[in-house]
Amino acid sequence: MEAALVRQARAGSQAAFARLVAIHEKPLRGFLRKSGWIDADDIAQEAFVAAWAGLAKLREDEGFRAWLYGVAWKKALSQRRGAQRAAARDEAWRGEQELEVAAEVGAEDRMALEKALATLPEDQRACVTLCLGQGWSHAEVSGALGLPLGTVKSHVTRGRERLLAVLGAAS
Amino acid sequence: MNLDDQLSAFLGETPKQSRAEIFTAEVMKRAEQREFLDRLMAAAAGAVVIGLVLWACAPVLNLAVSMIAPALAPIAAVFAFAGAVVITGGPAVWRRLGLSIG
Repeated sequence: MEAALVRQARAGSQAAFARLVAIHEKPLRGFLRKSGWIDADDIAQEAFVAAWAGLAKLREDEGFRAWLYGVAWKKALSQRRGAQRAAARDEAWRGEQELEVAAEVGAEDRMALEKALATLPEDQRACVTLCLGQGWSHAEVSGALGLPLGTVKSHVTRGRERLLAVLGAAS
Repeated sequence: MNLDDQLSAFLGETPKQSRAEIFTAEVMKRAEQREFLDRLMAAAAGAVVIGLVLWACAPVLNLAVSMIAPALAPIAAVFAFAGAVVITGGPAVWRRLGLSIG
């Protein structure tokens, strides 16, 4: 179904692309937020706009999700290198970016996890978020973030161990 | 629930408010703006190219225009007069002047 939407969007259908945006905006913003980007919404928006403009570069219609996340990841990295825009954010905007709190995780564990997640290198954080949080395969993450497969696997293993150790200690 | 499940739940958290409609509208607006700017840039580049070509062909064009201009002058005058009548006689102009028709 998604491949069909991608084909239609590539043919110029704005309605099809809008459907794709609606499907992917929430998980993409969640991923960027968890990966530590304060401007997650801005980055996600820019990524979608760039994706619309660059749909012709997408080789396989089925690979839209990984490609989109790759575009967003590059945007996030280039934004960090460029001027920081994070300072001017009003409270309403911050509120909109708040994440849905999982009931399974207690307040103490959450604080410990957030602290530990923030200490992970950004690549590792992204790998852990996508593989363990959003259920992506290692290969998919490797393609999206442009990292070697072995690196992704080791990032996930090490990140998981570190976070579980924190979680175990806090519980 | 084991620790792995808790970790997955934590890492899989998504934004609280689903802003799908607003977000999509914003994205599409920006996409349209970008498309418009791209087209504008392409048109500007085209205009520059055409300008350069005309500038390069100016001597020949000057000659051609000076040859056909006297013959076309009366027709151009008729068109200009007809255009002026249509524009000044249009209902929109009358309305703006506060005059009623009929």
